[in-house]
Amino acid sequence: MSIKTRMIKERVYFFLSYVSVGITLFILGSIIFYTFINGFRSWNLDFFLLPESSPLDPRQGIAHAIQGSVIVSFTAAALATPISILAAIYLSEYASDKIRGYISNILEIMASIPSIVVGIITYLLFVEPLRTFSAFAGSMALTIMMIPYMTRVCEDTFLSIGKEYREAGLALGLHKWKVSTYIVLRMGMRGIITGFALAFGRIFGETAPLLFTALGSRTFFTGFLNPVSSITLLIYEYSKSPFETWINIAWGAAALLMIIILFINILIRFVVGKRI
Amino acid sequence: MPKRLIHKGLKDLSKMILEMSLYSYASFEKAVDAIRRGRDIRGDLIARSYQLMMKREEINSLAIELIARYQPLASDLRYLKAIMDVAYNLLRIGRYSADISISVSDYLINNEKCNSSVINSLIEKVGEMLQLTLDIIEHPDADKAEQIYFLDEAVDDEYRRILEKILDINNAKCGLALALIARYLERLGDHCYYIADSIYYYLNGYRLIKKW
Amino acid sequence: MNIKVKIRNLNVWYGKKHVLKFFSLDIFENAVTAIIGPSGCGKTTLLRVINRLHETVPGARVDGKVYIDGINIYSDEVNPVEVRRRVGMIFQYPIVFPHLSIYKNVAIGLILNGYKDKEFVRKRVINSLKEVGLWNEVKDRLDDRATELSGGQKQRLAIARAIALRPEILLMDEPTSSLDPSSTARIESLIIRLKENYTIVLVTHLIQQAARVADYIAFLYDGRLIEYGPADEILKRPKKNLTERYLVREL
Repeated sequence: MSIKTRMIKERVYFFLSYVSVGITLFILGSIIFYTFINGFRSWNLDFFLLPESSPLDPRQGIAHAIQGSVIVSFTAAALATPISILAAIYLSEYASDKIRGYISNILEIMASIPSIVVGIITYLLFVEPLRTFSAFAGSMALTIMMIPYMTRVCEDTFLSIGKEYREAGLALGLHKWKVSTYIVLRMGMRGIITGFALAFGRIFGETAPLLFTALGSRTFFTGFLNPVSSITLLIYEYSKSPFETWINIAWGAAALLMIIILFINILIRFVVGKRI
Repeated sequence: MPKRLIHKGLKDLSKMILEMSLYSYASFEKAVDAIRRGRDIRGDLIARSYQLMMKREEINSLAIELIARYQPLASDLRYLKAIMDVAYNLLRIGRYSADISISVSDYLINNEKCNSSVINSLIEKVGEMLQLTLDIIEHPDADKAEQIYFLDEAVDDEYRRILEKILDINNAKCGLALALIARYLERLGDHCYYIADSIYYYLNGYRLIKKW
Repeated sequence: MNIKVKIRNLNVWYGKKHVLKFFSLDIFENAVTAIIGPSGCGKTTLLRVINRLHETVPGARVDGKVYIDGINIYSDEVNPVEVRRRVGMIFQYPIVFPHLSIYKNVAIGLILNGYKDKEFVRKRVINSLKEVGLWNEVKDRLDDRATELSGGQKQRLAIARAIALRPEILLMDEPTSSLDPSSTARIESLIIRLKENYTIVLVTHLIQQAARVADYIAFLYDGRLIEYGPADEILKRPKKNLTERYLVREL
């Protein structure tokens, strides 16, 4: 191969990679751009403060959906977080290598169960017996989705802490559980927070698990045993509808959702990056 | 097994001490020759004394350098300590040989009536000790070192016996010369013993006990 | 001299590997006992047996008796956690807890062991920092992150943390192997100062370090005790051929 041919090949190679990056950025950029352009148009005070109304009513908003998302997600987070952390502690500090391997694999599989399947399972577990769609069931669905992911992240965090720190703790005459909570857990805080933020961001943007559990609602939150709305459910319903008002609101909700997710990601980077 | 870093230094030292021991022995031989044939060789032996001083200085410098650089322990450390003692004692042996030649020159030469045969036995015994000492410098041996200890006891006894005999000599100059030479020979023997003691220490880690 | 630790017929396994074999040793009180030997001879394992840290590793097995002040720490009535409160350990790499301040790093042993009196804890921390010679260097920044200290300072901090609990015995596993020569020298002086109040067992692969600080030296080879005695004698007049060969660096 002559030098000239080789140089041409290199140039072509570079060109292609630049083009690929360009295409990727363009596509992503377009999605974000298009969503924002269409979405921001719908943003006004009513949009944020008023709940759903008839499709012909020009004054309505997604306040109920925002409230619903927040309630369901935070409840799920409140339930999933301690369970995940404790499970992760068990896996990294107490389980034997064999058991840890089995359980970690199971968690991986659980994390990749399609979200709609999680929704159906939650329906069987929490909707049928209670004979009602509910915010509670919705929270449970999101909890089930959050646990495998957050447990794995926390487990990895704890495992990455060198064993010398545990030994130093034991050498001070501390019981193992103290070493696990006061040393390992504390040292892994940053990882836990990152894991939490990532997991939370995911469940906040989930739709399928809520379809047969929280169901959706036109009104504000009326109790855990009643259905409740969410931003994602709202986008799903409104964009299916033939009404222009609702479709515009759907765009606005989509833009809001993206902003929130973006915000969570930036927050992680900021919080984690600051404390060295 | 790659050679230890200190190895070259130790080899050089063993060459140097062997060379110094032969040089010192040669001084002794010349002194004995001077006694037998009434020669004046003090200039030569004094010059050789200075040579021995320099050789000792070289050996000490190298030994100290090895200690500073390699921080040796156990037998290495004992070897270095021993070799510095041995070098000093070889220096003294050369110095006493020079002293003998000075006495010869001052009192024995041109003193035909003076018969030095009375100290022959001492010369022989000390010569034997020195030969054995040279041997264990080249090939350290604890048993031979002990032998030297016993030979030194014998030399001490012989020395006392000879002094008695010298008292019977009428010629004062002759008596003085022979007494001095006998004394120097006895001291020379002591230094052979010290060398043997150092080598014994190097081999075993503790010293030969001298009963005084 | 009092004997602080008596080790009798110790056999230690790590999985199938027989790491320490029929090991017996007396460790004297308020003295520095150095454990030397080639890599893999079991020195670190020996140390970790004394504070019952070895058994926390899966696959570890200990058989034999270790008496501290006459009590066998491996008997069923003795709680290993209690043993570790009375036997401090300093590791090869300076370990500071990165999420804690300098003050907290020293205090943590006390706090988590239930010492609630803040004044008492504070006094202990200050005393410990003074004992290791760190006080003047950190007194104005006790609340700073401990990770900002240099390697030598971190190791002294680790020592302060260990002695804050006032253990009777200090186990040191090659404490200076990651430090530069002047930090090493400081820690060696510290060890000599500390032996007045603590019994120190020091594992080191630096024969010269043992030569500088040890009162007694134990030479291990392939899991066995080959020779043990006052430092002076071992270093100048070792009795066993293996010891001799190790000291002249033939092993």
